[in-house]
Amino acid sequence: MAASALKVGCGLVERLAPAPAPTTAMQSSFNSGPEADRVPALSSKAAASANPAVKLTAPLPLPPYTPTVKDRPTRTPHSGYHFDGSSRRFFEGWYFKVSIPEIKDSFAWMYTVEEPGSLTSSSSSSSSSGDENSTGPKFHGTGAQVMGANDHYLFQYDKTVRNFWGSRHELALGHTFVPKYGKRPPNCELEGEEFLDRVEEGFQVTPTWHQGFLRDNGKSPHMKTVDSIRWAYSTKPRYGWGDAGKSQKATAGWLAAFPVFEPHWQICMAAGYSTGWIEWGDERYEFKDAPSYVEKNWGGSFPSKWFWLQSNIFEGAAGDIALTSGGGRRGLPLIPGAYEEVAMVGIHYDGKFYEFVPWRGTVEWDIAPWGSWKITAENKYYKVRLDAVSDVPGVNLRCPTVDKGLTPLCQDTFFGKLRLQLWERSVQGADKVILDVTSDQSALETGGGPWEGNWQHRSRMRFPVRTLIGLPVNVEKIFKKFPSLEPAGL
Amino acid sequence: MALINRWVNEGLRWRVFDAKGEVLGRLASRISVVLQGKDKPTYSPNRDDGDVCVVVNARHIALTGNKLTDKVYYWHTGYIGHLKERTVKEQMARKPEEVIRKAVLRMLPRNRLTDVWDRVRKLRIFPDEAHTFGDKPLEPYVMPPRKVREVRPRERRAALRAQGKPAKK
Repeated sequence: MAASALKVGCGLVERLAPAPAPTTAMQSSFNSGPEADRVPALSSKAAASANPAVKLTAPLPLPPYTPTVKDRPTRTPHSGYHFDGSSRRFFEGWYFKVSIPEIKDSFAWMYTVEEPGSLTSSSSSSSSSGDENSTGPKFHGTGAQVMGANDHYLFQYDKTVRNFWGSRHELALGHTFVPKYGKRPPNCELEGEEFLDRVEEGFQVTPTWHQGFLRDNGKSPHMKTVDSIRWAYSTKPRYGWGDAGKSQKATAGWLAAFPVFEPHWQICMAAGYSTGWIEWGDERYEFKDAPSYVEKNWGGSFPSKWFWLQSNIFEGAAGDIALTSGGGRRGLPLIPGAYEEVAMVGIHYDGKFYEFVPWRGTVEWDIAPWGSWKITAENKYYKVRLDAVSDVPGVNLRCPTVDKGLTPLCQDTFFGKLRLQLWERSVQGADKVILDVTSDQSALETGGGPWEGNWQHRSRMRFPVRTLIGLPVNVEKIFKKFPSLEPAGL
Repeated sequence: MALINRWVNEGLRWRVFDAKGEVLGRLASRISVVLQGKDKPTYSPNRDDGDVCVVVNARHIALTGNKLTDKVYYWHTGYIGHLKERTVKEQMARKPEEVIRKAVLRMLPRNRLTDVWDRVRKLRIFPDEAHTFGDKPLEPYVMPPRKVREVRPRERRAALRAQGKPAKK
């Protein structure tokens, strides 16, 4: 099951017209008989017109919840919440994606917390739009965005970070927008039913569990939005970031443990299998073993300009493949005004991890402001080529910025068409083809600006930075000897 | 900013263009791209997502060739025989901002987003260095270096004669 789970058509999905009883829906989704292999109708519009959508009052039964175990094998460095209590400009954002191959669509949750330190300083009592008299404008708050089926969007924002909690060492976080009457908002992970007892609007997420209810705040009038989303699913991680069965790696090298070369980026789970359900507006989606993905960013702000590609669903290969690629322009430490442009490609295939980073090779790209992504990368042993296009306009998403808080600066789509080619380099003769696969459900993104035509660049770090970042420093082992000095989030 | 009727002031940026020494049309082309929001990946043709463009030193804009005296703005008042004209030099003496404003507005698409006038209101031009947006977070727009073509032999000889130097043979 594991080897085939990430191929097209692996997840079991029930896309139901509004069903009269939750129990009926649950039974049909986990039915292992012949109905389990049936591919349901993809469009809900026909169903909706035949049978007007009815908002269900009773949520579905929750999937089985398992608490987070310590030192799980796929845990990556930097899984935890990095805020260290300082008053500097700080944000942290998490991205959780579930792709449902049967409906050829995906859902993505983006959580951001900005300026958590502002509540402890004197500027916390200033207006919510920021206190420009102190150290510049401050936009503190917790935001939750969801990009869902049919290119719909949902955004909920809270100007306080008081109800946000995050584990220092593990991928676990949550926030309560509205607690249940008389109940205290939680500050740690809870069992599924207990979360429903205490939280009216909010979310909680761990490496193996994701649950919540969000309501749109109406601040996106130019976009297709849904009123609310309710969901609960469990996840079985398959790949973290590194070879399966070995210790997992930091995406950006060991320097990500320190506030240099910000913003930082870490893929916490390159691939996993998720089982559960989502109620997206008036529509319900149930899925089993759907491919999922988790990443996070933290630091001062997003890069000034970036791109990103990700896919777990490919045609044309046996075995599971997970691809992530991204790059951006970021400021250099100690040199105000200077910047560098870096990118990376990471592929997990059949238990092996192929990493293409500028300090071990070359990454070259040609990205249009929207519509076309071309990346080639090589290291000592392998080379890779990615070609992606998008013929849909995409969805406008918000992202944290230095001076304006959460700003709609990036464009995303779940319907990108991508071709991935991976070769093993050979000294004599032709390179050996390892992968030549395509995907029509890849997530593609460009953001920031300004974009003056195509962005073409070749990223290869030079000495001494290349040598410095490429040092095989195991930061976690070092700080285990000095736990009091360990940075938050490692 | 007063009376900008847009849902998204959360992403609005203030970009400053220094017109000193820049060629009129080449600068206006860049301003019109920023004004429409076409330098953003979130661009959508049915939505106005451009940035505010603050142009300073409009009085010191450059025009190549003899356009300062030969380029003429024409308009008709509506009365028979009343076709009026004004050269760029005369316009710069009266109201220098109008030279850049006309150039930019005539490069914008003629559609309803321009009719609503929000897009036009985002273009603010000042004749000198001083402007009224000191309280906003301004981002300077870096123009690419100006490509000046080589001086033609005839022009070179004329310039040397004007300086009183003998022409090189």
